[in-house]
Amino acid sequence: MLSSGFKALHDEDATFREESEAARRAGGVPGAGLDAYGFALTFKSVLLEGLEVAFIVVTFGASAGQLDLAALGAGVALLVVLGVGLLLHKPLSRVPENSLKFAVGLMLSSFGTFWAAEGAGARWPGGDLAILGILSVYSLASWAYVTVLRREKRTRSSGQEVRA
Amino acid sequence: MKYLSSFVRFWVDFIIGDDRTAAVVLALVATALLSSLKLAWAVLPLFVLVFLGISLRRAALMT
Repeated sequence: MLSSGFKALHDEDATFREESEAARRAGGVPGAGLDAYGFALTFKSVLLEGLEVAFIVVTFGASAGQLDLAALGAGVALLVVLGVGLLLHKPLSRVPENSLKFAVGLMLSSFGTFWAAEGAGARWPGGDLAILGILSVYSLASWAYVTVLRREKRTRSSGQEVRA
Repeated sequence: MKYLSSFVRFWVDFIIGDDRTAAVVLALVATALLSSLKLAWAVLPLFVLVFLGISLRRAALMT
């Protein structure tokens, strides 16, 4: 929907400015104990992302029988990500967010399809390499859907111009 | 009761979102039932492609 123009592309910097302004308007009292707005905001983000990481680490660690190693890896990854984030937060804000989300969505869908079908008892031709095949098919299908939606958006826009 | 339904609705929306839940369940059941066949792997991607198209179509019409 974003790529076809049916929805406006996200501007991460603008969102950050809006959210910062909203946080300022909420008005925390410095040095007066717990900032409820800041706590709720941070807690929601950490809960969402933290739960996701915990599920992945526990699932992979338990299935490999090496939960301690998986937890250690997750801890190291956390430190690395924190360090890289602190060092590179400026150039990272210039990474095209919408394209990044599109690519990540394709990869997650491909992995999800592979594991879900395997979990339901299906056997993929080519084993793990099938993930690349799924990714290719989904990429092609996404490109086709975006093309069709873009055409529809253009048709609608030109129709509205004619009526105006 | 109102709080309970809001709570349930929040978690359903949080976990499932606007996915076609029934289609996902149906795809997994179909894959499991056909798992003895060599082509069982094709069921899930086919469902994904078809229902993604339907979801996009519906969303485009509502925009």
